[in-house]
Formats: sequence, C-alpha cells, structure tokens
Amino acid sequence: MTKEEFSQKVLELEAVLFHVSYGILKNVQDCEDVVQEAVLKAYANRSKLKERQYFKTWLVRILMNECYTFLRKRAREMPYNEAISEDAEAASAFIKEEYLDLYESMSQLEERDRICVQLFYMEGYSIKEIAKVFRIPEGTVKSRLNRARMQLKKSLGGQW
Amino acid sequence: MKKIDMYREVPEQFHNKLCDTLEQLEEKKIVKFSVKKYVAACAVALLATSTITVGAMELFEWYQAASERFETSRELENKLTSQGVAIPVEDSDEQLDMKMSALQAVKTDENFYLLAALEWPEELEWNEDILFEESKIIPAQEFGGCTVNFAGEPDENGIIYVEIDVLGKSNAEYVEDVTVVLKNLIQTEKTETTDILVEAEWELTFSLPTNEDTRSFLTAELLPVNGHNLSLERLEINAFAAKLYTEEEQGRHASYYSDMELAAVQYEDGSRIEQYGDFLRNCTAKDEEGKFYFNLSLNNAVDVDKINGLVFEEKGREFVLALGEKVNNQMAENENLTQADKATLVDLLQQESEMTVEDFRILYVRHDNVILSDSKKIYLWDAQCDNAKMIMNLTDYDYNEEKGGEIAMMPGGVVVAVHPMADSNIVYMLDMDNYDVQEVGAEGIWPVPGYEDYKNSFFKVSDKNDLPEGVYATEGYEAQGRAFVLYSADGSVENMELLDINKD
Repeated sequence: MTKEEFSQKVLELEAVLFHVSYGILKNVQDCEDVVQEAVLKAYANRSKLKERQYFKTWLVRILMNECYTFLRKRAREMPYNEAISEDAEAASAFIKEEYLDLYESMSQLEERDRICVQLFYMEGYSIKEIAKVFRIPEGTVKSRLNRARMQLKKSLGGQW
Repeated sequence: MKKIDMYREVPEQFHNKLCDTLEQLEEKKIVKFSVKKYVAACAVALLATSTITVGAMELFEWYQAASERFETSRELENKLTSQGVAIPVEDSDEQLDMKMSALQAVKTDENFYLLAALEWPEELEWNEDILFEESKIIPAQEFGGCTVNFAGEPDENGIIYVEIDVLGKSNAEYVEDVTVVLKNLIQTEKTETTDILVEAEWELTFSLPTNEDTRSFLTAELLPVNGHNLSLERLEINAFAAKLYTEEEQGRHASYYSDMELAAVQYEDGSRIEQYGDFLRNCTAKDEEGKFYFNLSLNNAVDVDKINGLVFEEKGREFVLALGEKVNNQMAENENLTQADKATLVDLLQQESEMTVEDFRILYVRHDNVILSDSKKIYLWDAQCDNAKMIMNLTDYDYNEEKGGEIAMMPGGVVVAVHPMADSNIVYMLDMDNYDVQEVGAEGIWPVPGYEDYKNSFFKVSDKNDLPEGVYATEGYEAQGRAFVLYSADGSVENMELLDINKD
C-alpha cells in the first residue's frame, strides 16, 4: 500500500478514529496524540495487513490498543477517574444537541458494550467487522448490542 | 441500517494534526547505526536501574515493563517475589558500546520470562521493525527455544527493555544456569530485505526461578462446552495459567468446533480479571503421565488466594465455573439455553425428509465431529450426540457438482474451500471458526495446497468387505489410520451413525 493510498484510507476513517478515541479518552488533545501514534504504527506495519478490505477494522483495533496503553500509562500518574473525566460542556462541542441524552446514557454503558454500539449504530460497522475489531465471535457482538440496547431503553425511557 | 448521525464535525485541531501526521509519514527515514560515531551516553541511567542484588530480595521491585506485561498489582508482585516465582537476576554483556543487562526473571507456569535492558544509541533511530536476527538458549536440549520482543521503545534515558520468553520443559528445573544468546540487530521492513544494523552477539547467563504457587481445586460443576457437559477431574491454577483436567475423548470432541474461551477470572469480592485467552480447542495438552487437560494461559496474572471462579464465554453466553462454593446459578440457566439450541440433522432436513444416508458424503472427521455435504449444503454434525448445524448453503454460491464443482478441506479442518464449477475463477473459503465465507480469486488458490492428498483420503465403501448389514454412503474417509463410513441400518438419516470400520 503506497503512502497516498494509506493516507486516503486514514482520512476516510478520520471521524471514526476521533469518535472511538474520544469515546475512550474523553479529551481531544489525548485523542490527537493517540491517533497519531496509532496511524504511525499502522503505517509501519501496513505490510502485515494481508487483506485490504479489513483496513478499517485493523486500524480501529490498533487505535483501541493505543488508547488502552495510553490510559495504563496515565493511570500511573493519576487516578483512572481523573484520567478520563469529561465535563458536559466538552461533550456538547462534539455531540449534536438532540443526541446529548443518548450520549449521556451511552456513557453509562460498559466500555466494550459502548464501543460496539458506537461502531454499529454511529459508524455503520457490520457485526462481522466489529467481531474482527474485538477478535470475538459475532454472537458475542450481538449479545453485547442486545445488552446495551436493553440498558439504553431503560435509561432513555423507551426512546431508543 | 441508517447510521445515527450523532456527532458534529471533527475538531479542526484534530484534523490538522492528522493531516500533519500523514504528510510526515515517510520523513522518518531509517538511519543506519554507525558504531564509530557512537559515544556511550546512557550508561549512567542504566546503572541506576541495575544495581539490585539477589540478597536484597525483600527490596526487589518489579520493573515497569514486567508489570505491564503481566498486568500485576504491586501486592501480587510482592507475593510472587516472596514465593520465589519472580526473582531479580544479574548479568550484563556489552558489545559495541551497547550494554545489555538482565534484570528479572519470572516462572510463568511451564515457561520462563526474562526481562533485560539494552542501552540504545541515539544514532540508531528506533522503529518497530527492528529485531534480533537470532536468539537461542543454552542448554538447548532442556528447553523449547525462546522468543524475543522489545517492550515499547527506548525511554528518555535511552534504555529499551527486552522481553525473552524461554519455553521451558519440566526438566528445566534441574538446570542451574541458563544462557540466552541474542545475535545482530536487523531491520526488516518495506522491501523485506534484511539489513544488519548492529553486528554483535550478547550473552546473558542467570539462574531461573524454580518455585511456583499452583493450587488444586475440585469442582462438582459441569462445564457446558458446545452443548456437552464436561465433568472436570480437577483444576490447577497458578498466577499465570489454569489447567482443566477432563476425560480426553470427551474434551477433544466437545471443544473441537467450540468457541468457548476463558473470559475472566473472578475473585471472591466479585471483581474480575479479564483474560484474552485462546479458544479452549486450541489449548489441549497432556501432562507427563499422559493425562489430558486444557491449558489456559492467563495473560493478566491473578492472585490465586482470591479466586472463586473462572468465567467462560461461548457464543456470547457466560458460564461461571465455581471453585469450592457455587458462585451463582447462571450455569444452570445457560446450560438450558445451550440445550435449547440443539438440532439434529433430521431437524435440519425437514423439507427433504426423503433423504437417506446415501445422499451424504463425509468431507472431514475430527474427534467425532463430522463435516458433511449433501451436494446442496454443508453441515457440521456431532456424530456422538446427533447435534447438527447447517454451515453453508452451497446453492447460494452457485455450486454445481455436475459442472465440476469440488469441495476440499484445508489441513486441520479449519477452512472448507469450495470451487463452485470446473471453470470458475472464484473459490469460497468457509472459515470453521466463525462460519464466515470469503470469496477469493481461484488463480493460485485452486486446487488448494494438499488437495491431491485430500482426495486420496476417500475410498469406495463397496470395496470394503465384511461390513455390517445396512445402508452406507458411497464414499468413506480415511485419516490417521482410521476409516470412517456413514452407516444406517435402515438407510434413514435419523439412524445414521459414523462407523470407524478399522476399529469397529
């Protein structure tokens, strides 16, 4: 894959990269750093990607690993809840007003469920693609989505 | 499905930084290391981290790289250190002004882990495609070799940590000292040609920790794997692995096409240490006495004193296997669910009730799990329990035997390759892990590697003598000294059995 092809594919996924990293890190500057790290890592390892159609699952997986590595490092410097704290104002800069309740409810989900919901409903990933991101069976993705839907229904009072 | 458009535009600063990153992608050129230019500048930093003596065991603190590798808490590290499972080690070797120092060793179940530090020269730009050309362990005959990885990248002091996994054997405990030899740093990127960046050989000699803290547990609970209830003879758990002993034939049969994996270890206080283990089917092993067990590595180390259950996941369902007292009743509920999912081959053939055993042919057999085809569909049939599922509808893929369509199994029974017609330029690959079907170009793929051998593993049942009275599928399948045929006393699919005519 040439630099141009790689860059093109990364730019196509720009929004996904931001949304996924922000969903985990809750801080734009951290997202910038971690996404940069993930992109560099992906570029260095692009020869290892055998099938190009899996680029978007492969890159998101690298990004998630980078996010968790970042949080582990950060956790040694400050408590976890401080490391990922986010104020409501910050969220409103990236979330459309009519979806703030949904976003707030999604924040209450377990992280692995939340990322499944985000990839499936917001980013348009298929069940199969999400399974590849997490390296889990498709059935597990479905059950995570089911569990998340139930919880969202409960917290949003039937709006979901 | 229509996407939920929840987000506003990506922040401008994020977009700009991403564009900058992409523009600079190839500016990070690999700078070859010149030994002559190098001036030792980081030895002081290493000194600060390598002055630990074995006598100061109580003071020994794990290095951060080791803590990150095993995800250990300080409390667990202290415990493993006091038990002698983890020990500090001391040896160093300096080549071309690059000093490598052994720091700590851990006995991880059957294997050993060594952490070393290497002084990394400023002139040598780090990238993830740098690795050691060769690694070996002495005495070689006592071990199964070693694997070497860098943990992260050089830190601000110019130190990079090197993780060496020594694949051990039970007799390794009689070895007093081992030597790890790491040769040449090489670069393998882009063109796949290998450049030697640093030509040198480092040797580190040290003692291995021999202690381990393994506990045995008994459990009355059954482990429901792929609809089978496995009884466990015993469980052995230490900080880095769990071994589940069970009866071999049932264990292999139940797990072969199961997606069950160890998802977490549960502590008495309800907290869980998540694991990212392999599927059970990939973890089969035998101990020195020939007893069969599932050997599950715990990538996140656990405190054995706190465990009260093992959490398994299969097809999105969770099973908590209690150690000692029962953890909860989730197990029974899930067991029922699994039973409810069961279907026989006859259930799957509702619309084709006139079919007989002669309509089927075996594609593959492993541990009484049979992959079958009736030329229209491919099924996975559990011949012990008559449990079946349809895994590929061949008609969806234009498969036509009359036009030369062929089916082959890849070695190990993990992928079914379907070439729909003689002149087709497509091959469909059915992944038995998740039943995904991928379309690939036939050129260079079909016939798949080993196809001739695979075809030779079939025989005509009519060529065999002294078979019991009854109706048989036309072809049998022979592998590893066993010869399988599909048999039914009255020809019906309902009474179909898998016979090993070499054995039976």
